[in-house]
Amino acid sequence: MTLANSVRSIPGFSILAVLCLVILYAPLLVVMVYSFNDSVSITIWGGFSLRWYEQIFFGLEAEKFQKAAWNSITIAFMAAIVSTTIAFSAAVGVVRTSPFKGKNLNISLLSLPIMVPEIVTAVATLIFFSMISFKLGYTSILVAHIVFCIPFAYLPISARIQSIEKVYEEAALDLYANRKEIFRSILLPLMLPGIISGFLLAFIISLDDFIITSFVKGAGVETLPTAIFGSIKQGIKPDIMALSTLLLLVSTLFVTISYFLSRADIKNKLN
Amino acid sequence: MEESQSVAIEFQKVVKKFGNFTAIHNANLKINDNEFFTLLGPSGCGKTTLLRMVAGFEDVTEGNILLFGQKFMHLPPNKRSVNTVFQQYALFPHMTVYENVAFGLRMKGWSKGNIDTTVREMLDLVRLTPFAERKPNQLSGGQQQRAALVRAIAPKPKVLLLDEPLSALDLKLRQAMRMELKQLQKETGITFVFVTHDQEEALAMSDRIAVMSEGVIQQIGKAQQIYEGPKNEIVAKFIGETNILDASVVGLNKEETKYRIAEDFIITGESVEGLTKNQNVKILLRPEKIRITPLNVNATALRGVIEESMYLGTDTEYQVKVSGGVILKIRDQNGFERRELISLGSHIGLSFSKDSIRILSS
Ligand SMILES: Nc1ncnc2c1ncn2[C@@H]1O[C@H](COP(=O)(O)OP(=O)(O)O)[C@@H](O)[C@H]1O
Ligand SMILES: [Mg+2]
Repeated sequence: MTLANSVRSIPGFSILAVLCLVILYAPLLVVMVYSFNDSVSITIWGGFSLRWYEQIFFGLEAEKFQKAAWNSITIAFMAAIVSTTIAFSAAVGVVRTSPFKGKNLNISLLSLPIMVPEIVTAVATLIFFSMISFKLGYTSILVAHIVFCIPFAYLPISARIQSIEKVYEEAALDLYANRKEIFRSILLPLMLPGIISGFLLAFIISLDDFIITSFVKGAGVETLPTAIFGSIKQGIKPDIMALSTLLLLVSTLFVTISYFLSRADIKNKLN
Repeated sequence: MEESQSVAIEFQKVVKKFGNFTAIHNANLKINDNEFFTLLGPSGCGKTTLLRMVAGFEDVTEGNILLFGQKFMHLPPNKRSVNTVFQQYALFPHMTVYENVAFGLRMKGWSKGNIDTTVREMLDLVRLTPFAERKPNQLSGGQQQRAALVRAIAPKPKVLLLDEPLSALDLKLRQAMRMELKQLQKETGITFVFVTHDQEEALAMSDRIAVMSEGVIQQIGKAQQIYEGPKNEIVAKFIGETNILDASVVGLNKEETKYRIAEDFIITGESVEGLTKNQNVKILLRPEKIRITPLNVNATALRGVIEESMYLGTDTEYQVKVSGGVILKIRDQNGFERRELISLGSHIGLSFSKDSIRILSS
C-alpha cells in the first residue's frame, strides 16, 4: 500500500477533507454569491441584481475606488517589472555562475524575506523611510512593493534557471554561437516561463498587499486593499463584496496563467 | 590505406588532469581524414574527456592536439570547425527540428537561401522532412537521434565527434542506425570520431579502433587486428571473450613452439620470434577457434569433460575441464549441420589450429 492510500484508509478521512475544502472556500463563495444580491442587507437574499457592480463603477464611492484601483494596478505593474528584473539579474548571477564564496548564503539571503513576518517588514520599512526623510505617498508604496516582491519573483526564476541543463549551452557553443547569441537564442527563451511566473507572482503579491502598504502609504493615497478596509470600517456594504469578487477574478486569472505556464514547462522537461 | 593520407586529428602526448586525478595518460593518436574512427572502452575510461578536449569544452593539461596539422587548442569551441553529437542529443527544446538544424548555419552567418537549401537537404538525408516543424519532444528517440546528427553535420565540420550516440536507443533501432551512420560518413566524407563502450558496435562500424582503459590508449588498429591480435590482456578481455592461459615455453624450433599449461596439457603453436625456453607467457585462445571432436578420432588430441553448457541460439557455449583442472570456454556454432547438445559430464576431444593461438609474453 502506498503512503497516500494508507492515509486515505484512516476513518473519517473523507469527512475531514471535505470540511477543509468547505472552510477554505465557503467564505469566498458567500462573498461571490452575495455580490449579486439585490438586497441592501448582507445576510438576506433579495434576488439577483448587478446593482452593486454598477455602484462601484458609478456610485458615490466610485471615484475613490477607481483612483485606488488605478494606484493598485500601476504600482503592481511597475513593482512587478522592476522586481522581476532585479530578481532575474540576481538569479542569473547566482545560479549560472561557477561556485563562489558565499554562493549558498546568497541564495538563502535572497529568499529569507518571505519568512519574515510581514508586520516586521512593514515597521522596518516605515522606520527606514522616516530615517532618510522619504516623503510618504505613491512613490514610497512603489519602492516598498518593489523591494518585498523581489524574493517572490526570484523563486520561480531561479528554479527555472537551475533546471536548464548545461549541455544546451555547450551545444550552442559547439554550433558557433557566441556568448551573446547563446543568451538571446537559447538561455532567454528557456528561462522565459520562469520569468513570466515570477512577474505574475510579484504582480499578485503587490496587488493584494495590505499591511506594508497601510504603513507606508501616508495620508490621502489609497490602494484597493486599503480603500476596501477604509470603507468596511463604516460597516460592510454589498458593493465591497462586488469589488472583492472582481479582485478575486483578477487574481485567479493570473494564478491560472502561471499554473499553465509551469505545466507546459514540466511537459517540456519530461521529454 | 594510402601512405599519403592526411591526418585529421593528432593527439600528441596529451595528458588531462582533473585536480589530482589523471583522466588521460599520455595519449598519442592519429585519426585520418575521411575515417570512421572509434574510441572504445569501458565507462569512465576517458572517452568523453578526449572528445571534449577536441570540441574545446575541456582544456589540455599537457601535450597538444592538432586539427589537419594546425594548432587549434587556443580557439574557443565556437571557433573550431568540429561539431559534436551529444549523448543526450541536446536538441534545443524550444526550437523546431528545422530551427535546430538551421542553428549552426545561422550562427556561421550563412545566407537565408543557403540555410534553407542545406537544412532541407539534411532533413531529406535522414528522412525527417515530414517532421521539420515538430518540436524535439514530439519526436521518437530514433528521430531525435537523427535530428541531432544532421544538426551537427549541416555546418560541414571537418570532424564530427559522436559521444555514444546510439546508447539510448533500443537494440533493433541501434542496429539500423549503425548502417545509417556508416552510410552517412561515406556520403559526407567527414571524419567521424565515434565513442562507444559496445565492442560489437565498434567492430561493425569502424575503419579503425582505439581501445582505451583507465585513461590509457591500449591499442590502435582495424577491427580484425584488434580482435585477432590483441596487444595485451586488457584488450583481449575487453574485446570478445577469450581463454587466457598461463604457460611456459617448453620447446622451440623454426616451425612451431610448444607450451606447457599443466603437467599433461601441452599445446603447439606457430613459431613466435623472441621467445626463449622456459619463458613464462600467456596464451590467448578464442572460444570459437576450438573445435569439439569425437573422442576416438585421435588418441593424442586434447580431451576434456563438459562442465557446463549455455544455449545461445546461434551457438552454444561450453565450459570444458581439461587436464590440470584448467577450464576452457568453447563456442560451438549451431550452424549447417544440426547438432544435439552435448550433455554435461560427457568426455570430448578438442582441437584447434596452430595459428589460432596468440602469445603475450609476460
Ligand atoms: N569535470 C570533471 N571533474 C572531475 N573528474 C572528471 C570530470 N570529467 C570526467 N572526470 C573523470 O574522468 C574519468 C573519465 O571520464 P569520461 O571521459 O567521462 O569517461 P567515459 O566517457 O569513458 O565514460 C572518470 O573517472 C570521471 O570521473
Ligand atoms: Mg562518456
